Amino acid sequence: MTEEVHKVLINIFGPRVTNKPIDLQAYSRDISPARETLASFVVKPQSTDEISNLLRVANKYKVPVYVRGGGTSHWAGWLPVKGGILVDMRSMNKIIEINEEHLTATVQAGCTWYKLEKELKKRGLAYLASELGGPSMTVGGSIVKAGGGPYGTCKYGLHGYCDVVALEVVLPTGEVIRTGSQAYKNVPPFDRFGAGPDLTSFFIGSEGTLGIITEVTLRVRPAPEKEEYLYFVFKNWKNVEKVGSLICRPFGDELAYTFYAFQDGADLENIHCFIHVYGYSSEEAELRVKKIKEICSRHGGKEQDSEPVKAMYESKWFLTDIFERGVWHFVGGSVPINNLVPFVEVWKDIVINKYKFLNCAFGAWPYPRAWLPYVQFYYKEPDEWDLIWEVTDVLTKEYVRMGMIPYRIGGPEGFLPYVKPQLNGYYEFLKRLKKFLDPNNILQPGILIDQEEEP
Amino acid sequence: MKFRHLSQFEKELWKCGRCAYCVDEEICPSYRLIGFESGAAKGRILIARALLNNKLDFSSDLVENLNLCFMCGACKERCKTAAKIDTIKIFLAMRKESIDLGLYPEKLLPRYEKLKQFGNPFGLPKDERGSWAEEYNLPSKGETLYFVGCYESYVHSNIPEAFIKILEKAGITPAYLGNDEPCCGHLLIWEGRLEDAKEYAKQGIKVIEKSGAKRVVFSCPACYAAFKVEYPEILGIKSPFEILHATEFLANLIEQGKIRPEKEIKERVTYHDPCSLGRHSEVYDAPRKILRSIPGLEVNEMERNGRFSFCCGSGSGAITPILYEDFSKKIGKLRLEEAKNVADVVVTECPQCLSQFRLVKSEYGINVEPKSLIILLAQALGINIT
Repeated sequence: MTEEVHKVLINIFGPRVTNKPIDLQAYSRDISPARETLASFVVKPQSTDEISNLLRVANKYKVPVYVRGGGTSHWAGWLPVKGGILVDMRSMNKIIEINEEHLTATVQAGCTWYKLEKELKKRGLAYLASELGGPSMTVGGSIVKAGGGPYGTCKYGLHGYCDVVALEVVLPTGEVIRTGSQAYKNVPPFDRFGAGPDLTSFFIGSEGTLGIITEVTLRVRPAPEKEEYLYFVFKNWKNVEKVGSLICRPFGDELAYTFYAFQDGADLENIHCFIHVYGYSSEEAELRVKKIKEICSRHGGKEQDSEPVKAMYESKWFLTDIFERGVWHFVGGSVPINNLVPFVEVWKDIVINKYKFLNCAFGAWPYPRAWLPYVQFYYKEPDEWDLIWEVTDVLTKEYVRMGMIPYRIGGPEGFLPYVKPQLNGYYEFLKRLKKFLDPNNILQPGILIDQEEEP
Repeated sequence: MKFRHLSQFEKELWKCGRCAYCVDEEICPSYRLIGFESGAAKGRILIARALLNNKLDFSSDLVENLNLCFMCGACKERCKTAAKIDTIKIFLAMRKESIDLGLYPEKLLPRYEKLKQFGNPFGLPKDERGSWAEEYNLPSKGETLYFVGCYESYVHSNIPEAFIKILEKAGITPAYLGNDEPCCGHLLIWEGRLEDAKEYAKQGIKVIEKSGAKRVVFSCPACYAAFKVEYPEILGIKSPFEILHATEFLANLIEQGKIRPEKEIKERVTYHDPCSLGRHSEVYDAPRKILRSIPGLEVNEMERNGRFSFCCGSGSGAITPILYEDFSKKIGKLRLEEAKNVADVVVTECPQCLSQFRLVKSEYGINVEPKSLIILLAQALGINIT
């Protein structure tokens, strides 16, 4: 059957399908420490029709299909745990339309944020809630996991909070739907709400299990006229938690655009806070800066030279020396705005005191009425592989028990084993939806929904 | 030991955190052509690890994949901000393995044989190497030696002629080895034939030392990179003489006022950084200084320039044009079209890039004129040369 599937895939994709061992090997890992996982085929679609045809074929032959954007998930978000066909979306990278009146940008899902930002900049526009995931990170990849990095999140929240206007999605059985206002024939994607419930939200964070997102319409904004950078050092996290809460308190008009706090595992004295502020006029930016400075100073923050902050944000696509201390693993997720400190304490207890793993950092950024804390581990492969699994296993169990919502769930070597016992009837409902939309369970099997319990 | 060359990089391979900074068709011509991540550094590093772990065979597919790498170094440049992996050395080690395994592409053999027999990769008579210089009576000994290289001696001899005429204006007569000038052997390095390359390196250094030169000026960036960067490394020695590229030498002369480009040239030009001069040797400013000194020129940068200049499609060692001519031309077309967006003339100082651009221009009818920077400067100095 594999040969037959190969022939059919060649009919759809021509030279954009491969089953060469070297090609499959090149797609065997994401950023996480998850072990190598090989697909049987990799395909690179260029159109929605090709994806639709692919999913019809996958249903016919009951072959699993996994989907990835830039491949930089750090929670085993797309690794083909059941083999089958891996879809690399990066050839679907067109910018379809930038509408300067609607303030929308419509792109194919494999378009990178880096590419989009360059095009928006030429028009004096910006997408203001991006991640710090490097130049390969795709729009579709971020939306499908409702991702968010420290850049812009303080003001605009995670992707999908409000800035995804509409989607085009190929359902697991091959049908194509459009959400938001474009659910109506011949209506452009100017509004998130179309007919009935908000099905744009339905696919945000679905981790590719409920359909393959092929087009995304995003809300864009005029680029800010004035940007300011601030750098404060604090001595305790209780104050940082308070400062983050106060800066975000004017809900919808948060004082900072970005607030990023971090502490090195080897320096438990200092907490560094990088703050980025903008305004549509100098006066607006100056007013925000003044208020933030007051809040920080009142809570023990000591102002520093802001040059490192500026340098970091200016090189946000190519952060420097990123693997200087080793390759990465992360444990993190969302907690309420007034519940950051316990997660710091547990990091210190488990990672620093119990395991003496100092080659790490604790970071957190607020987004509207929440924090996203995470522990970043730097480790050496392959020597520290076992250690990293052990430390992160203990930490993740504790964090999830404390109520942290992992930033995404992923597969058996991601957060899935930790999350499943914590979910209530919602998980059963999710499984029913999955069964309804994907009766043959061909799309991302083993991701988000446990293999053992798959419909 | 299995994979004796590659295994030297085992630690380096594990430094890759799979950030995919290098997986970008805008900078990597190989990924652009292959389309899958096996064509980018991240993919090749995962492949290399699998080879060392006996999870993958060294297949003919892999040999083809490796030879579709232009060795342009853009991935290495991107990785400087991430894991600082010397990707190019790893891919070269893999090419060396292919030689050890007898998987060397036969289509490259004629060039190798010609080099061994004639001392140049074109198979042209050795005693014609210095023909271009006959009218200049250059001495064979002197403090400053001009090393021309095979490509410019036999194919682009108007470049060394222009260079000598410019130096005449500055009152400088360099030494020149004439027919005794050896091939630098640069292409052997990129083919993965390190042992052969070492012999050429030793011979080249010996002949130059014999001339009494204290400094050597190269107009061919491949020869320059060989002597400046590659040979000290493979021989484990410090170069016994100062090494300069012609653009560095000329930019200095302009700065010192020893030559003054005064003839106005009203052209819209852009500068293409050759991989061997730019990323491999880190010479970016000198050529631009020369361009800025020429009156009348409108100099526009292409979007991809300097450290992230896009390869011309010929690549280090000019392997891809021999093995995969169509692919090579596709990349050249992309680069020439990019040049056309901002200029009427694409200026560079690499004979390989010039040949590639001329081929692509005639093949696809792209209306942009490839030109040597040295020739352009000569014209700005009123020297009659084309």
